[in-house]
Amino acid sequence: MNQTPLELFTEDLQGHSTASLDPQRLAEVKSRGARRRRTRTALTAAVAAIVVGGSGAWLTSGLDGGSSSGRDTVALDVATRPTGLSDLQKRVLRDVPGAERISVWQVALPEPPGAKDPMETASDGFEVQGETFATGVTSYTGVTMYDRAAFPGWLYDAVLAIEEDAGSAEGQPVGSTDMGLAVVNGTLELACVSFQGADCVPAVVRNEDGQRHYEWGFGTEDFLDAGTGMEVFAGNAGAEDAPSLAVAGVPNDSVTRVEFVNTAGEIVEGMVDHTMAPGSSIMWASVPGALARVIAYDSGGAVVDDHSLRTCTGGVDCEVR
Amino acid sequence: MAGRDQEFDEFALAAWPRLHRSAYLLTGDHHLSEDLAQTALERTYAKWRTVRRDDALAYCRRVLVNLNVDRIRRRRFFEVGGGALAHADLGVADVGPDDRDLIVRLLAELTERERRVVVLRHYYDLSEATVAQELGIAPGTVKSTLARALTKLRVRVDAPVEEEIYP
Repeated sequence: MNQTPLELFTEDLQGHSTASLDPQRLAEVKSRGARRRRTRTALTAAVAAIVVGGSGAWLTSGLDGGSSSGRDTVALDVATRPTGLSDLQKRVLRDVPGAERISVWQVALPEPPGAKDPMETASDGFEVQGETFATGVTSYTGVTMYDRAAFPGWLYDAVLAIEEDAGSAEGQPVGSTDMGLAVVNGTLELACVSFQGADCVPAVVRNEDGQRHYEWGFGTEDFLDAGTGMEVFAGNAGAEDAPSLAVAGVPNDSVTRVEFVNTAGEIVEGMVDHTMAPGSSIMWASVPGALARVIAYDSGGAVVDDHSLRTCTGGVDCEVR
Repeated sequence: MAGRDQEFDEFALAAWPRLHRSAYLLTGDHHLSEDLAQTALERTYAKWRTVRRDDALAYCRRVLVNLNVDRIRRRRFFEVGGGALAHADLGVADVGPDDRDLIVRLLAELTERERRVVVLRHYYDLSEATVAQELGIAPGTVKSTLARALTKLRVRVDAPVEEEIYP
């Protein structure tokens, strides 16, 4: 039977793949996937400020980027939040030095001195070029990201029990930040980050005691390309959440002032930089609650871009990085 | 939990060959394609609760494609920074020609966008409308991109066959 060139081409595309997923790689996929979810949840439960889109990645990888179509999509996939503090959180506030309530349902506790996240790798092969910009946003992770000995036994075991119980019901591990217990593991910064000697790109890094860890980069394919509009990267913080980081970028360096507006109408004056991506404006702020809109102005007060976010409809639609 | 974990295991095992192959078609690099496929699965597992009821392969595929965009984006920034914006093909990793299958060498002649459209349309067998939706571009753009790509590949969609197919 004769085949058309297109059929033959398609057949060649299909190839004769004998690739199979070996058990070791599958285990690694699940381990890293579970860790990613915990980290992501921790980040989006943040206290002081930032992302969405994961993409990411990268982080959005704690963050998801706006989609290239319509350019106004941000993942506002906010899970149901607790409405108050649990008995465990109250005990943490009472018995863990340095613990503090950061929202109606979230409690932050300091990383124990000397505690290390055993799965964390340093630097990840990146290099920060130029200035780093503090965002004022705290970075958080989960209790069980650490060894048991890092925390009081009652705390670690209680968190673990809840995670396992929730995991049984929900199908996967749940980080302690889901239950409103967030361990401070540094602060978030913006910087131009270079990989493998390439020119740098804007990204979020975490500064933990002077050591920087790459968190996530920004952008859909045409992010900051000439002629494109603003893209926004923000965490899936809910209205009752502690402040989180929001970052936006436009391929236009005329922006001198930016306003981040949350769903309650509260306006936060953001920061603007033109050095991380020359010719463009990178903007950021620590936004309380859920981000709704970003408005960029030039030096004359004219609006350069007015970007409203809308809720995405599902996991696939939301996932950009 | 075990049941849902098992669901993911079954999905991952079944999806791996396709993810790996499509990543290879997009990157032209075996090692890179393994990394991309693995990372896409990791991210899918991380959101398994959300995506498993829907189309997990679509989700995972989209993550994979976007991961590759990110990879290319980093290179693009590098090349733009170096004043070499004219580079047209930034997507396929630098490997020796002997290391690649013929099909991958052919795909390397396409721009990254063309390659992405071709893989989604003709490897994953998605409709043009679905490709458009998945990439966030107009259906007409998919059609014209495909036409341009197939022309470059010398794949004639209307020819009856036997002779030269594509080089």
